[in-house]
Amino acid sequence: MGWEGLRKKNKPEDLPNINFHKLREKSFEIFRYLQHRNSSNHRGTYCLNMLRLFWVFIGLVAFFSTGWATELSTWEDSIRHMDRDTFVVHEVSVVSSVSGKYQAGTKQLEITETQLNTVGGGNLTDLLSRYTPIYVKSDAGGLSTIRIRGTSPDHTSIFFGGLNINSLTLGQSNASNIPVNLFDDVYIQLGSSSAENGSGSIGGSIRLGIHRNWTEGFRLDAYGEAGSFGRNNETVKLYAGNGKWELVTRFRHFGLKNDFPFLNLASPDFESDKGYSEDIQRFAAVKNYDFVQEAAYRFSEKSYVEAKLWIANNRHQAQPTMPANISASLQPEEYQDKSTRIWTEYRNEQGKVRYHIGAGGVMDNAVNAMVDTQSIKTKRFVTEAEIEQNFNLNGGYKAGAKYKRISPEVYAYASGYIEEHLDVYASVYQQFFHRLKVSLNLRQQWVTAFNAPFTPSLGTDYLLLNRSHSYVKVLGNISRSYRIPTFNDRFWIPGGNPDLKPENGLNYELGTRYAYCSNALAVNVGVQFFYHDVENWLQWKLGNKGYWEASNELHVISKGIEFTSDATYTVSRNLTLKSGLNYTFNQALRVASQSQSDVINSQLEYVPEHIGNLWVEAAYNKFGVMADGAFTGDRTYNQVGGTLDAYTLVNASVFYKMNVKSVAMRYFAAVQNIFNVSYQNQFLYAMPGRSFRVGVRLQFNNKS
Amino acid sequence: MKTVSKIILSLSVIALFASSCKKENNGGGEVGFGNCYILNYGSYENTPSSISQYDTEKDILTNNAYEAINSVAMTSNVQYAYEYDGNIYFMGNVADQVFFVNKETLEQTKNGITADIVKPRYCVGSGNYLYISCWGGKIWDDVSLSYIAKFNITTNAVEKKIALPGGPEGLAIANGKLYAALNYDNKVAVMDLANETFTYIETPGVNSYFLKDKKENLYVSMVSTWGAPNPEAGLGYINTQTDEITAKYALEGISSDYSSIMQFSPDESSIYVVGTDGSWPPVGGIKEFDVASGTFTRDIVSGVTGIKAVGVNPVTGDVYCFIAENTTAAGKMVIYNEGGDSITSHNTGITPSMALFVSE
Repeated sequence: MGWEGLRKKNKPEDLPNINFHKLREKSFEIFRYLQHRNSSNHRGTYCLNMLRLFWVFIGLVAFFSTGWATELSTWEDSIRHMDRDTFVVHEVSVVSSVSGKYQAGTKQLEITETQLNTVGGGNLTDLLSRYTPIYVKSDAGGLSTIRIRGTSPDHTSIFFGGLNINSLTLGQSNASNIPVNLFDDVYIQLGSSSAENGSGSIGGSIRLGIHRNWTEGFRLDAYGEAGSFGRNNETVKLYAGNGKWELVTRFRHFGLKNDFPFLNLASPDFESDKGYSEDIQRFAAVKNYDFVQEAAYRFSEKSYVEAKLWIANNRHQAQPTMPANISASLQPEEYQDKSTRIWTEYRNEQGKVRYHIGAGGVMDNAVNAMVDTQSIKTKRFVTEAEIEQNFNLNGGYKAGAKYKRISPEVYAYASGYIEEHLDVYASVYQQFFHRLKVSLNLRQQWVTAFNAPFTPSLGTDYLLLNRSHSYVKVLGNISRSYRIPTFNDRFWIPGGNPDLKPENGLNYELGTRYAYCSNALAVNVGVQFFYHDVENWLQWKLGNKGYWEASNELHVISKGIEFTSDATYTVSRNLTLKSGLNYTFNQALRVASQSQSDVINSQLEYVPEHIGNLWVEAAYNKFGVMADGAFTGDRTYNQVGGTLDAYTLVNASVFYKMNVKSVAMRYFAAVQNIFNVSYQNQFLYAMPGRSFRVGVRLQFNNKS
Repeated sequence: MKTVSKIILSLSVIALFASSCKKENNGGGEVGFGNCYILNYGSYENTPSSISQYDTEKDILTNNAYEAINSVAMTSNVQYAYEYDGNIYFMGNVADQVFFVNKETLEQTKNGITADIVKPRYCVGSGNYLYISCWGGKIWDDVSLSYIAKFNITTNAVEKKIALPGGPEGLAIANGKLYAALNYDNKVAVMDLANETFTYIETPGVNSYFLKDKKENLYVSMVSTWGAPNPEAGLGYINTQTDEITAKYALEGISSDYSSIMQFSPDESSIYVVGTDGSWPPVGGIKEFDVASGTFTRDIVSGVTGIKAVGVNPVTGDVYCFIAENTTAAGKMVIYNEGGDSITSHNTGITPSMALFVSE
């Protein structure tokens, strides 16, 4: 069950046929179960053991990191982006702790700066839908969920620093609440990465990157846009520093009234045969605020400490469906998600053994329909430590431990539950004969009174052809993945089940990558086959108790082919052309189910078999023009033949750049859905037709 | 193509009527039941309702019958369907509306009525009026919102909203009074149809639906809900002369679902009730209540995951068991004879919630 279902499942419509006495007995049973798990002795011992293990690891970090100076830094570090499908070379350090060299054989995408600029004040949904072969199920602005390779929304982990920011109660993030232009880059891994990232990353992971610029002086980056249907966005980034220390403040406001016209398919006219009536979307407004504060100090070129704070306050009205939109009695239903995320980290890369230690926390508070008594709060404290060392120029390892302490405060849970997680992981890579790279990742997680599986992954890159301007690689990866059931899955009363098993997956990938690079032309082409076999797939279903229950319901096999490509052609000093083409064919089949009514070997709902996009960009002197089109294939929304039609959306934008003294200005105008296509991404949810945006980005004293 | 399918379905409806008339005449009854429509609730706010048409004679079930006739799908999650005055009236939620179709052709020729209709639940007819229980909004937050809509079937308009706090669900008319089972209060409301004033019958817990017997007395389902436990859940028997509960028949696990949870057998000697056996975890089934002895005598079916509703064929007495394991896949209808033997089963639309046997 998705975000919407969980949020609504306290409504009486969804809670029929309840035997209260038995339910209460069950809730006490769950509570006793939890009490047993949390009994002071038991919990104390468990807690002590996990913490002890973690501190043992810290001690090892300290031991290894003393006195081993080395200048070893592999060529892998410097060109790690070359292994991704979009070439982006940063001259600054990337804070997101990701290192592609340990993830041989996997598919990684990085979004270009132009693409980030084009999406502008939009959110992660806009970005992924337009430029990646990833399907995002969304309404018109308030709620969207990411579905990578046919997996469910809680199979994609989203990271900020060392924090997985997915909701602990729902296991997923609302992609509509994640701004794009607040961050410096967005890095996407397609396919399982549980061995690298832990529970949940069955379908993939997304990292929101922040760069350390080590600003000297002051710098201001301001962005503003206004658009159709009450859209407005203001983003300000203020950088200050002296090269030694750096303070960065980022603020974003996004507002959307969302009062767009649409053809209401829920209003057939039976009396005059006039077809359907025009309607105006009501009560679908969005208002988001985000504030990020960073402070960093570097002790030397290769060691620094930093702290990042991200406060998000997102309010959206739950968009009424088309039928609801015509109800005279319709009232707005508002949801608020407040999150505070903080991450501090010390990073030292000057010794033979490089290491970092970090600590932080996330406090989430989701309020349903602004009813204070139904708040859903979770707090988590996270700390991690990691060491990394190169054996030689062609190989290295890293090892780390991560500890989490989680305390939920949810109106529908028995109170007093605290959960701890301890992850210990190690990764190693080695390159052989300058052609074959092999990486191995191992991870074991311990969760309070829950058995998490041992999670390995093994990947290879083989350089099949190597010419002066091009290469061909063959990639392969096999990995195990898993997801611990969310807190709602286990503890929601009624329906949660503490005895659920973790979702358990095996993932196989095989692909090839071609790259060509000359003075004028750079081309990347990648083809990747994937096969994900996930057992104990969790779903909420209407059980024999008359209410919704979490259940290890399905066995799903998701398989397909991804094609990604991009090209940059420098026609002349003043003219550059860029383009990209992505396509995914994905069959996500329900191959077995606990429910007899499920249709076996049928495509999962809201997984298009075909999805693709094409973008082209031309920049001439200070002018630029960009166009993109995204195709989304048919999707079923139930198992009785309900299908949403395929659609193609085409967008275009132009920009003009100019410099006035130390101010760089970039003006733009954009039109979305040029052909005013009427479509549904989610059944019965209206989507906006043609819309416009204009805006400007100003960069004062830009030295980066 | 749509026209052709419309014609074919219309002809099949007519043919079905013809064949069932014959059957009824042979059986000697005065009223024939030529058609069985199954209301599939769908999935709240996700998939609107649909109608399945079941040919009881040929054992053929056709899904999406409404859509085939009207060329468009339903646009509401229908809570209840009611045959009255040659039409079938539907109580639609999201979009909130009352709409109706010709009971023989399933064709809708009038737009749904939305004015003064907010979360309609159930209805019962008397003369030119339908009395419609309406929750009026988020009844779970504010029990004062609910009301009875007095709907004129000739003008197709709500003539009057009669305030009735407490979330009226099931309705029945007996002895010149309208009975409303309150689902958010421990009462049955009784409205004198002449002056439209209320009196109340106290009940041990909240209530959901009625069955009216030949004596014009009522069985009421007294249920436990998540927010309102009921230590005396089961059936209550209301004497409509005195407006008192004269008997209670405990059934701890009686379904509190918003669907057809109880039905009389054709001769009213039994009541089939959707319920559980009281164990943990509860297992759903259909229990037979023997009216004469006032006891639950046997399970027609038990151990059913996702049991939703029960229907009874008024001619054959066959018991229709409706099952909905989840809200994205087809539901199921399993038919048992009075002896409890499974006769046939069919896939339905999503969440089958009631059977409507349409009279001639």
